[in-house]
Amino acid sequence: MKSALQELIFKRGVLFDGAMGTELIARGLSSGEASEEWNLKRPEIIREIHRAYFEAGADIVQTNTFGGSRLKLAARGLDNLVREVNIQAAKIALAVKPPEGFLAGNIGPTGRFLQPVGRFTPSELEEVFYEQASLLVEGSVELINIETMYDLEEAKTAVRGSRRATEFPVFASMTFSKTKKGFYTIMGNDVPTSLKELEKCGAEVVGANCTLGMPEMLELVKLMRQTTDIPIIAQANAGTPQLKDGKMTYPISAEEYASYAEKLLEAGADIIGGCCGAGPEYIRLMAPLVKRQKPGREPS
Amino acid sequence: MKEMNREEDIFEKMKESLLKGDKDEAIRLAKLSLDIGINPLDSIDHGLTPGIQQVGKLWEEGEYFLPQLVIAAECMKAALKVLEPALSEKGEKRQEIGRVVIGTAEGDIHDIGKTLVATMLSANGFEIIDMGADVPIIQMVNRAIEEKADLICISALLTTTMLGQKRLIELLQEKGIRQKFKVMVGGAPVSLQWAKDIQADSYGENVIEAVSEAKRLVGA
Repeated sequence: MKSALQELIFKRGVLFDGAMGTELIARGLSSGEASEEWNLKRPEIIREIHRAYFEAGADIVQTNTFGGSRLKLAARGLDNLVREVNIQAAKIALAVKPPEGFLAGNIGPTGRFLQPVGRFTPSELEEVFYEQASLLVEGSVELINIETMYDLEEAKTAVRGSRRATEFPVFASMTFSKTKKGFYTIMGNDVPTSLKELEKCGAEVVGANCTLGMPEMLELVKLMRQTTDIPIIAQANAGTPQLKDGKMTYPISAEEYASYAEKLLEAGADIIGGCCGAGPEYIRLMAPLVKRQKPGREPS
Repeated sequence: MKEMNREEDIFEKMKESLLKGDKDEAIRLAKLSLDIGINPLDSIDHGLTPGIQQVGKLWEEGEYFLPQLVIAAECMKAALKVLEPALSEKGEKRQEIGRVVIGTAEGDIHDIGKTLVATMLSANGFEIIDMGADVPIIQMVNRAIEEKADLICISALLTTTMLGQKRLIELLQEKGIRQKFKVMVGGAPVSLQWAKDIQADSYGENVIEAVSEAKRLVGA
Protein backbone atom coordinates (compact mmCIF):
# COMPACT_ATOMS: atom_id res chain seq x y z
CA MET A 1 0.00 0.00 0.00
CA LYS A 2 1.42 3.34 -1.06
CA SER A 3 1.34 6.40 1.16
CA ALA A 4 -0.41 9.56 -0.05
CA LEU A 5 2.98 11.10 -0.75
CA GLN A 6 4.25 8.11 -2.74
CA GLU A 7 0.97 8.14 -4.66
CA LEU A 8 1.49 11.82 -5.50
CA ILE A 9 5.08 11.28 -6.65
CA PHE A 10 3.88 8.43 -8.86
CA LYS A 11 1.16 10.51 -10.46
CA ARG A 12 2.65 13.93 -11.08
CA GLY A 13 5.59 16.25 -10.64
CA VAL A 14 5.93 17.29 -7.00
CA LEU A 15 6.92 20.78 -5.93
CA PHE A 16 9.22 21.27 -2.95
CA ASP A 17 9.75 24.62 -1.23
CA GLY A 18 12.63 27.04 -1.84
CA ALA A 19 15.38 28.65 0.19
CA MET A 20 15.11 29.35 3.91
CA GLY A 21 18.53 30.82 4.75
CA THR A 22 18.53 33.54 2.11
CA GLU A 23 14.93 34.43 3.03
CA LEU A 24 16.00 34.88 6.65
CA ILE A 25 18.93 37.10 5.66
CA ALA A 26 16.50 39.26 3.71
CA ARG A 27 14.49 39.59 6.93
CA GLY A 28 17.44 40.66 9.04
CA LEU A 29 19.15 37.48 10.25
CA SER A 30 22.65 38.64 11.18
CA SER A 31 25.84 36.76 10.50
CA GLY A 32 26.39 35.88 14.15
CA GLU A 33 23.03 34.16 14.56
CA ALA A 34 22.04 30.55 13.99
CA SER A 35 18.95 30.57 11.79
CA GLU A 36 17.47 27.70 13.86
CA GLU A 37 17.42 30.00 16.88
CA TRP A 38 14.73 32.02 15.13
CA ASN A 39 12.34 29.08 15.65
CA LEU A 40 12.35 30.19 19.26
CA LYS A 41 13.07 33.92 18.95
CA ARG A 42 11.17 34.92 15.80
CA PRO A 43 8.62 32.15 15.10
CA GLU A 44 6.30 34.58 13.29
CA ILE A 45 8.91 35.18 10.61
CA ILE A 46 9.54 31.47 10.07
CA ARG A 47 5.79 30.90 9.87
CA GLU A 48 5.45 33.70 7.31
CA ILE A 49 8.11 32.08 5.08
CA HIS A 50 6.48 28.63 5.30
CA ARG A 51 3.11 30.17 4.48
CA ALA A 52 4.57 31.97 1.48
CA TYR A 53 5.84 28.65 0.10
CA PHE A 54 2.55 26.82 0.60
CA GLU A 55 0.72 29.74 -1.00
CA ALA A 56 3.17 29.69 -3.89
CA GLY A 57 2.01 26.13 -4.54
CA ALA A 58 4.64 23.96 -2.83
CA ASP A 59 3.38 20.44 -2.08
CA ILE A 60 6.08 19.93 0.53
CA VAL A 61 7.49 22.52 2.90
CA GLN A 62 10.36 21.79 5.22
CA THR A 63 11.21 22.83 8.76
CA ASN A 64 13.87 25.43 9.58
CA THR A 65 16.18 22.83 11.09
CA PHE A 66 19.06 22.49 8.60
CA GLY A 67 21.59 23.16 11.35
CA GLY A 68 19.41 21.66 14.07
CA SER A 69 21.45 18.59 14.91
CA ARG A 70 23.01 18.49 18.36
CA LEU A 71 26.52 18.66 16.91
CA LYS A 72 25.85 21.61 14.63
CA LEU A 73 24.06 23.52 17.39
CA ALA A 74 26.97 22.76 19.72
CA ALA A 75 29.30 24.75 17.47
CA ARG A 76 27.41 27.82 18.67
CA GLY A 77 26.90 26.56 22.20
CA LEU A 78 23.20 25.91 21.57
CA ASP A 79 23.13 22.12 21.91
CA ASN A 80 21.01 22.39 25.04
CA LEU A 81 18.25 23.71 22.74
CA VAL A 82 18.19 20.71 20.41
CA ARG A 83 14.79 19.52 21.61
CA GLU A 84 13.03 22.90 21.58
CA VAL A 85 14.52 23.98 18.25
CA ASN A 86 13.36 20.88 16.37
CA ILE A 87 9.96 20.39 17.95
CA GLN A 88 9.14 24.08 17.77
CA ALA A 89 10.23 24.17 14.11
CA ALA A 90 7.75 21.43 13.24
CA LYS A 91 4.95 23.14 15.19
CA ILE A 92 5.50 26.45 13.40
CA ALA A 93 5.26 24.84 9.98
CA LEU A 94 2.35 22.60 10.94
CA ALA A 95 0.29 25.65 11.84
CA VAL A 96 0.26 26.87 8.22
CA LYS A 97 0.15 23.52 6.43
CA PRO A 98 -2.91 23.07 4.20
CA PRO A 99 -4.68 19.68 4.34
CA GLU A 100 -3.21 18.56 1.02
CA GLY A 101 0.33 19.70 1.90
CA PHE A 102 3.17 17.70 3.42
CA LEU A 103 5.65 18.68 6.09
CA ALA A 104 9.27 17.57 5.79
CA GLY A 105 11.78 17.63 8.62
CA ASN A 106 14.99 19.13 7.26
CA ILE A 107 18.37 17.71 8.27
CA GLY A 108 21.74 19.11 7.16
CA PRO A 109 25.36 18.10 7.79
CA THR A 110 26.84 18.22 11.28
CA GLY A 111 29.74 20.36 10.05
CA ARG A 112 32.11 17.81 11.60
CA PHE A 113 34.14 15.16 9.82
CA LEU A 114 34.35 11.43 10.17
CA GLN A 115 37.69 9.75 10.75
CA PRO A 116 40.33 9.96 9.38
CA VAL A 117 39.75 13.59 8.34
CA GLY A 118 37.90 14.35 11.56
CA ARG A 119 37.48 12.53 14.84
CA PHE A 120 33.95 11.18 14.69
CA THR A 121 32.86 7.59 14.12
CA PRO A 122 29.87 6.68 11.92
CA SER A 123 27.89 5.38 14.90
CA GLU A 124 28.38 8.67 16.77
CA LEU A 125 26.98 10.64 13.84
CA GLU A 126 24.16 8.15 13.34
CA GLU A 127 23.04 8.77 16.93
CA VAL A 128 23.10 12.53 16.38
CA PHE A 129 20.88 12.19 13.30
CA TYR A 130 18.64 9.62 14.99
CA GLU A 131 18.02 12.12 17.77
CA GLN A 132 17.18 14.97 15.39
CA ALA A 133 14.93 12.85 13.17
CA SER A 134 13.12 11.49 16.25
CA LEU A 135 12.47 15.00 17.52
CA LEU A 136 11.18 16.15 14.13
CA VAL A 137 8.84 13.16 13.94
CA GLU A 138 7.68 13.86 17.47
CA GLY A 139 6.89 17.36 16.19
CA SER A 140 4.69 15.76 13.48
CA VAL A 141 6.72 15.95 10.28
CA GLU A 142 5.64 13.42 7.64
CA LEU A 143 8.96 12.79 5.98
CA ILE A 144 12.64 13.50 6.57
CA ASN A 145 14.62 15.47 3.99
CA ILE A 146 18.39 15.17 4.36
CA GLU A 147 20.26 17.61 2.14
CA THR A 148 23.48 19.42 1.18
CA MET A 149 25.51 16.39 2.21
CA TYR A 150 29.09 16.59 0.93
CA ASP A 151 30.32 13.36 2.47
CA LEU A 152 28.58 10.16 1.43
CA GLU A 153 29.64 8.43 4.63
CA GLU A 154 28.01 11.13 6.75
CA ALA A 155 24.92 11.10 4.52
CA LYS A 156 24.62 7.36 5.06
CA THR A 157 24.67 7.80 8.83
CA ALA A 158 21.92 10.43 8.44
CA VAL A 159 19.76 8.07 6.37
CA ARG A 160 20.33 5.20 8.78
CA GLY A 161 19.60 7.35 11.82
CA SER A 162 16.43 8.72 10.21
CA ARG A 163 15.39 5.25 9.07
CA ARG A 164 15.65 4.03 12.64
CA ALA A 165 13.62 7.00 13.88
CA THR A 166 10.67 6.66 11.52
CA GLU A 167 8.74 4.60 8.97
CA PHE A 168 8.00 7.79 7.02
CA PRO A 169 9.79 8.42 3.72
CA VAL A 170 13.41 9.56 3.91
CA PHE A 171 14.76 11.80 1.14
CA ALA A 172 18.51 12.30 0.78
CA SER A 173 20.33 14.84 -1.41
CA MET A 174 24.05 15.30 -1.88
CA THR A 175 25.73 18.49 -3.05
CA PHE A 176 27.92 17.89 -6.09
CA SER A 177 30.39 20.22 -7.77
CA LYS A 178 31.16 20.04 -11.43
CA THR A 179 34.86 19.21 -11.78
CA LYS A 180 37.02 18.56 -14.81
CA LYS A 181 36.18 14.88 -14.42
CA GLY A 182 32.47 15.24 -13.84
CA PHE A 183 30.21 15.63 -10.84
CA TYR A 184 31.75 14.85 -7.44
CA THR A 185 31.26 15.89 -3.84
CA ILE A 186 34.22 17.66 -2.23
CA MET A 187 35.01 14.37 -0.51
CA GLY A 188 35.29 12.66 -3.88
CA ASN A 189 32.00 10.73 -3.94
CA ASP A 190 30.70 10.19 -7.46
CA VAL A 191 27.04 10.25 -8.49
CA PRO A 192 26.26 6.56 -9.12
CA THR A 193 27.93 5.37 -5.91
CA SER A 194 26.25 8.08 -3.85
CA LEU A 195 22.75 7.36 -5.10
CA LYS A 196 23.10 3.59 -4.86
CA GLU A 197 24.50 3.69 -1.34
CA LEU A 198 21.84 6.11 -0.09
CA GLU A 199 19.13 3.88 -1.52
CA LYS A 200 20.72 0.84 0.09
CA CYS A 201 20.64 2.58 3.47
CA GLY A 202 16.91 3.13 3.12
CA ALA A 203 16.33 6.43 1.28
CA GLU A 204 13.12 6.37 -0.80
CA VAL A 205 14.06 9.49 -2.76
CA VAL A 206 17.59 10.56 -3.71
CA GLY A 207 18.96 13.61 -5.43
CA ALA A 208 21.05 16.75 -5.40
CA ASN A 209 20.78 20.29 -4.06
CA CYS A 210 22.80 23.49 -3.66
CA THR A 211 26.17 24.43 -5.25
CA LEU A 212 24.91 24.12 -8.85
CA GLY A 213 22.78 26.53 -10.84
CA MET A 214 20.01 25.32 -13.16
CA PRO A 215 21.98 24.46 -16.34
CA GLU A 216 24.40 22.21 -14.42
CA MET A 217 21.56 20.74 -12.35
CA LEU A 218 19.81 19.71 -15.57
CA GLU A 219 22.94 17.93 -16.71
CA LEU A 220 23.22 16.23 -13.33
CA VAL A 221 19.56 15.08 -13.31
CA LYS A 222 20.15 13.30 -16.62
CA LEU A 223 23.12 11.53 -15.11
CA MET A 224 21.24 10.66 -11.92
CA ARG A 225 18.35 9.20 -13.92
CA GLN A 226 20.77 6.82 -15.62
CA THR A 227 21.92 5.48 -12.28
CA THR A 228 18.74 4.98 -10.26
CA ASP A 229 15.11 3.94 -10.70
CA ILE A 230 13.77 5.51 -7.51
CA PRO A 231 12.33 9.06 -7.44
CA ILE A 232 14.80 11.93 -7.83
CA ILE A 233 14.71 15.33 -6.12
CA ALA A 234 16.57 18.33 -7.58
CA GLN A 235 17.01 21.74 -5.94
CA ALA A 236 19.35 24.16 -7.71
CA ASN A 237 20.73 27.49 -6.51
CA ALA A 238 19.77 30.72 -8.23
CA GLY A 239 23.44 31.08 -9.21
CA THR A 240 26.18 32.49 -6.96
CA PRO A 241 25.55 35.62 -4.90
CA GLN A 242 26.47 39.04 -6.26
CA LEU A 243 26.42 42.50 -4.82
CA LYS A 244 23.97 44.98 -6.32
CA ASP A 245 23.56 48.44 -4.82
CA GLY A 246 25.12 47.19 -1.59
CA LYS A 247 22.69 44.26 -1.38
CA MET A 248 23.26 40.61 -1.99
CA THR A 249 21.42 39.31 -5.02
CA TYR A 250 21.36 36.13 -7.10
CA PRO A 251 21.94 36.30 -10.84
CA ILE A 252 19.35 33.76 -12.02
CA SER A 253 15.90 35.38 -12.09
CA ALA A 254 12.72 33.57 -11.07
CA GLU A 255 11.62 33.50 -14.73
CA GLU A 256 14.88 32.01 -15.96
CA TYR A 257 14.94 29.51 -13.09
CA ALA A 258 11.35 28.38 -13.74
CA SER A 259 12.07 27.96 -17.44
CA TYR A 260 14.12 24.90 -16.49
CA ALA A 261 11.34 23.19 -14.53
CA GLU A 262 9.92 21.21 -17.43
CA LYS A 263 13.35 20.25 -18.69
CA LEU A 264 14.20 18.84 -15.27
CA LEU A 265 11.02 16.75 -15.28
CA GLU A 266 11.73 15.49 -18.78
CA ALA A 267 15.25 14.62 -17.73
CA GLY A 268 13.82 12.41 -15.01
CA ALA A 269 13.38 14.52 -11.88
CA ASP A 270 10.26 13.71 -9.82
CA ILE A 271 10.46 16.39 -7.16
CA ILE A 272 11.70 19.92 -7.84
CA GLY A 273 12.37 22.68 -5.36
CA GLY A 274 14.71 25.62 -4.85
CA CYS A 275 17.92 26.13 -2.91
CA CYS A 276 19.97 29.29 -2.09
CA GLY A 277 18.47 32.42 -3.60
CA ALA A 278 15.32 30.72 -4.90
CA GLY A 279 12.52 32.30 -2.88
CA PRO A 280 8.71 32.01 -3.00
CA GLU A 281 8.44 33.78 -6.37
CA TYR A 282 10.64 31.09 -7.93
CA ILE A 283 8.38 28.39 -6.52
CA ARG A 284 5.22 30.19 -7.62
CA LEU A 285 6.41 30.41 -11.22
CA MET A 286 7.40 26.74 -11.23
CA ALA A 287 4.09 25.49 -9.76
CA PRO A 288 2.04 25.19 -12.94
CA LEU A 289 5.01 23.71 -14.80
CA VAL A 290 5.94 21.11 -12.19
CA LYS A 291 2.57 19.97 -10.87
CA ARG A 292 1.53 18.22 -14.02
CA GLN A 293 0.48 14.69 -14.65
CA LYS A 294 3.27 12.40 -15.64
CA PRO A 295 3.05 10.92 -19.11
CA GLY A 296 1.26 7.57 -19.14
CA ARG A 297 -0.28 8.03 -15.71
CA GLU A 298 -4.05 8.19 -15.39
CA PRO A 299 -5.50 11.24 -13.65
CA SER A 300 -7.20 10.27 -10.41
CA MET B 1 77.88 10.69 -5.56
CA LYS B 2 76.40 7.97 -3.41
CA GLU B 3 75.53 10.58 -0.77
CA MET B 4 73.76 12.62 -3.42
CA ASN B 5 71.62 9.67 -4.43
CA ARG B 6 70.72 8.98 -0.84
CA GLU B 7 69.47 12.53 -0.41
CA GLU B 8 67.43 12.43 -3.56
CA ASP B 9 66.04 9.08 -2.58
CA ILE B 10 64.83 10.52 0.71
CA PHE B 11 63.34 13.59 -0.95
CA GLU B 12 61.49 11.32 -3.36
CA LYS B 13 60.19 9.20 -0.49
CA MET B 14 59.08 12.30 1.40
CA LYS B 15 57.07 13.32 -1.63
CA GLU B 16 55.55 9.88 -1.81
CA SER B 17 54.64 9.89 1.87
CA LEU B 18 52.53 13.01 1.28
CA LEU B 19 50.95 11.59 -1.86
CA LYS B 20 50.02 8.43 0.02
CA GLY B 21 49.00 10.30 3.15
CA ASP B 22 51.33 8.20 5.29
CA LYS B 23 52.02 10.30 8.35
CA ASP B 24 54.23 7.80 10.18
CA GLU B 25 56.40 7.49 7.11
CA ALA B 26 56.63 11.29 6.74
CA ILE B 27 57.81 11.57 10.36
CA ARG B 28 60.25 8.67 9.99
CA LEU B 29 61.81 10.22 6.90
CA ALA B 30 62.10 13.63 8.53
CA LYS B 31 63.99 12.05 11.46
CA LEU B 32 66.12 9.96 9.13
CA SER B 33 67.04 13.03 7.08
CA LEU B 34 68.30 14.75 10.23
CA ASP B 35 70.18 11.63 11.40
CA ILE B 36 72.15 11.43 8.19
CA GLY B 37 72.83 15.14 8.17
CA ILE B 38 70.62 16.44 5.40
CA ASN B 39 69.98 20.15 5.76
CA PRO B 40 66.34 20.50 6.91
CA LEU B 41 65.85 23.37 4.48
CA ASP B 42 66.72 21.05 1.62
CA SER B 43 64.24 18.47 2.88
CA ILE B 44 61.54 21.12 2.93
CA ASP B 45 62.40 22.62 -0.45
CA HIS B 46 63.09 19.40 -2.33
CA GLY B 47 60.94 16.85 -0.51
CA LEU B 48 57.94 18.25 1.30
CA THR B 49 57.13 21.31 -0.80
CA PRO B 50 57.16 19.53 -4.17
CA GLY B 51 55.15 16.76 -2.50
CA ILE B 52 52.39 19.05 -1.30
CA GLN B 53 52.41 20.87 -4.62
CA GLN B 54 51.94 17.57 -6.41
CA VAL B 55 49.01 16.75 -4.11
CA GLY B 56 47.51 20.12 -4.98
CA LYS B 57 47.99 19.48 -8.67
CA LEU B 58 46.25 16.11 -8.45
CA TRP B 59 43.42 17.77 -6.60
CA GLU B 60 43.09 20.40 -9.30
CA GLU B 61 42.96 17.67 -11.92
CA GLY B 62 40.12 15.96 -10.09
CA GLU B 63 42.24 12.93 -9.08
CA TYR B 64 42.41 13.83 -5.40
CA PHE B 65 39.66 15.16 -3.15
CA LEU B 66 39.39 16.91 0.16
CA PRO B 67 40.39 13.92 2.35
CA GLN B 68 43.68 13.42 0.48
CA LEU B 69 44.39 17.13 0.70
CA VAL B 70 43.66 17.32 4.42
CA ILE B 71 45.69 14.22 5.21
CA ALA B 72 48.66 15.30 3.07
CA ALA B 73 48.63 18.67 4.82
CA GLU B 74 48.73 16.87 8.16
CA CYS B 75 51.65 14.72 7.06
CA MET B 76 53.51 17.84 6.00
CA LYS B 77 52.80 19.53 9.33
CA ALA B 78 54.03 16.47 11.22
CA ALA B 79 57.25 16.36 9.20
CA LEU B 80 57.81 20.10 9.63
CA LYS B 81 57.43 19.67 13.37
CA VAL B 82 60.43 17.35 13.29
CA LEU B 83 62.50 19.53 10.96
CA GLU B 84 61.83 22.99 12.30
CA PRO B 85 63.61 22.68 15.69
CA ALA B 86 66.71 21.55 13.82
CA LEU B 87 66.35 24.51 11.55
CA SER B 88 66.24 27.03 14.38
CA GLU B 89 69.22 25.30 16.08
CA LYS B 90 71.19 26.03 12.97
CA GLY B 91 69.97 29.61 13.16
CA GLU B 92 68.42 29.22 9.75
CA LYS B 93 64.97 30.12 8.63
CA ARG B 94 62.85 29.21 5.69
CA GLN B 95 62.76 31.95 3.17
CA GLU B 96 59.60 33.89 3.81
CA ILE B 97 57.80 35.33 0.82
CA GLY B 98 55.05 37.16 2.65
CA ARG B 99 53.13 37.49 5.90
CA VAL B 100 49.50 36.47 5.88
CA VAL B 101 46.75 37.04 8.42
CA ILE B 102 44.02 34.53 7.68
CA GLY B 103 40.65 33.70 9.25
CA THR B 104 37.01 32.82 8.68
CA ALA B 105 34.59 35.74 8.92
CA GLU B 106 32.67 36.56 12.06
CA GLY B 107 29.63 34.35 12.59
CA ASP B 108 31.07 31.60 10.43
CA ILE B 109 32.37 28.47 12.10
CA HIS B 110 33.59 26.76 8.94
CA ASP B 111 37.25 26.05 9.30
CA ILE B 112 38.38 23.45 6.86
CA GLY B 113 38.77 25.44 3.63
CA LYS B 114 40.53 28.25 5.45
CA THR B 115 42.85 25.84 7.25
CA LEU B 116 43.74 24.15 3.98
CA VAL B 117 44.59 27.45 2.35
CA ALA B 118 46.67 28.38 5.42
CA THR B 119 48.54 25.09 5.28
CA MET B 120 49.22 25.32 1.58
CA LEU B 121 50.35 28.93 1.86
CA SER B 122 52.66 27.91 4.67
CA ALA B 123 53.98 25.03 2.58
CA ASN B 124 54.73 27.51 -0.15
CA GLY B 125 56.81 29.74 2.08
CA PHE B 126 54.34 32.22 3.50
CA GLU B 127 54.43 33.09 7.19
CA ILE B 128 50.92 32.40 8.44
CA ILE B 129 49.00 33.97 11.30
CA ASP B 130 45.89 31.80 11.44
CA MET B 131 43.21 33.44 13.57
CA GLY B 132 40.79 30.51 13.29
CA ALA B 133 37.06 30.73 12.61
CA ASP B 134 34.40 33.23 13.66
CA VAL B 135 36.91 36.10 13.85
CA PRO B 136 35.57 39.62 14.46
CA ILE B 137 36.55 41.86 11.53
CA ILE B 138 38.09 44.50 13.78
CA GLN B 139 40.38 41.90 15.36
CA MET B 140 41.55 40.73 11.96
CA VAL B 141 42.38 44.26 10.92
CA ASN B 142 44.19 45.02 14.18
CA ARG B 143 46.20 41.84 13.93
CA ALA B 144 47.17 42.62 10.35
CA ILE B 145 48.44 46.03 11.49
CA GLU B 146 50.38 44.56 14.44
CA GLU B 147 51.95 41.81 12.38
CA LYS B 148 52.68 44.12 9.46
CA ALA B 149 50.98 41.60 7.23
CA ASP B 150 51.26 41.78 3.46
CA LEU B 151 48.07 39.92 2.87
CA ILE B 152 44.73 39.43 4.64
CA CYS B 153 42.80 36.31 3.64
CA ILE B 154 39.20 36.09 4.74
CA SER B 155 37.00 33.07 4.15
CA ALA B 156 33.21 32.78 4.30
CA LEU B 157 31.16 29.66 3.74
CA LEU B 158 27.77 31.22 4.31
CA THR B 159 25.89 33.78 2.33
CA THR B 160 25.27 35.56 5.64
CA THR B 161 28.93 35.85 6.52
CA MET B 162 30.14 36.85 3.06
CA LEU B 163 29.14 40.37 4.00
CA GLY B 164 31.95 40.26 6.59
CA GLN B 165 34.40 40.26 3.69
CA LYS B 166 32.85 43.45 2.43
CA ARG B 167 32.97 44.98 5.90
CA LEU B 168 36.64 44.15 6.28
CA ILE B 169 37.49 46.10 3.15
CA GLU B 170 35.27 48.99 4.21
CA LEU B 171 36.96 49.07 7.61
CA LEU B 172 40.40 49.26 5.98
CA GLN B 173 39.14 52.11 3.82
CA GLU B 174 37.68 53.94 6.82
CA LYS B 175 40.98 53.67 8.64
CA GLY B 176 42.79 54.95 5.57
CA ILE B 177 44.99 51.84 5.39
CA ARG B 178 43.43 50.03 2.46
CA GLN B 179 46.62 50.41 0.42
CA LYS B 180 48.76 48.78 3.11
CA PHE B 181 47.30 45.32 2.63
CA LYS B 182 46.27 43.07 -0.17
CA VAL B 183 42.95 41.38 0.57
CA MET B 184 42.03 37.99 -0.78
CA VAL B 185 38.59 36.41 -0.33
CA GLY B 186 37.46 32.81 -0.62
CA GLY B 187 34.80 30.29 0.33
CA ALA B 188 32.13 28.22 -1.40
CA PRO B 189 29.61 30.97 -2.22
CA VAL B 190 32.33 33.48 -3.17
CA SER B 191 32.95 34.22 -6.83
CA LEU B 192 35.28 36.39 -8.87
CA GLN B 193 32.35 38.72 -9.46
CA TRP B 194 31.80 39.03 -5.71
CA ALA B 195 35.48 39.81 -5.18
CA LYS B 196 35.24 42.56 -7.77
CA ASP B 197 31.98 43.87 -6.32
CA ILE B 198 33.51 44.37 -2.90
CA GLN B 199 36.86 45.56 -4.30
CA ALA B 200 38.97 42.74 -2.96
CA ASP B 201 42.41 42.41 -4.56
CA SER B 202 41.93 38.80 -5.41
CA TYR B 203 39.92 35.66 -5.04
CA GLY B 204 40.81 32.00 -4.91
CA GLU B 205 38.36 29.63 -6.57
CA ASN B 206 40.14 26.81 -4.78
CA VAL B 207 43.16 26.23 -2.57
CA ILE B 208 45.57 25.95 -5.50
CA GLU B 209 44.39 29.16 -7.07
CA ALA B 210 44.57 30.80 -3.64
CA VAL B 211 48.28 29.96 -3.46
CA SER B 212 49.09 31.21 -6.95
CA GLU B 213 47.06 34.38 -6.40
CA ALA B 214 48.76 35.02 -3.04
CA LYS B 215 52.15 34.69 -4.74
CA ARG B 216 51.10 37.05 -7.47
CA LEU B 217 49.85 39.61 -4.94
CA VAL B 218 53.14 39.70 -3.03
CA GLY B 219 55.15 39.65 -6.22
CA ALA B 220 56.78 36.30 -5.47
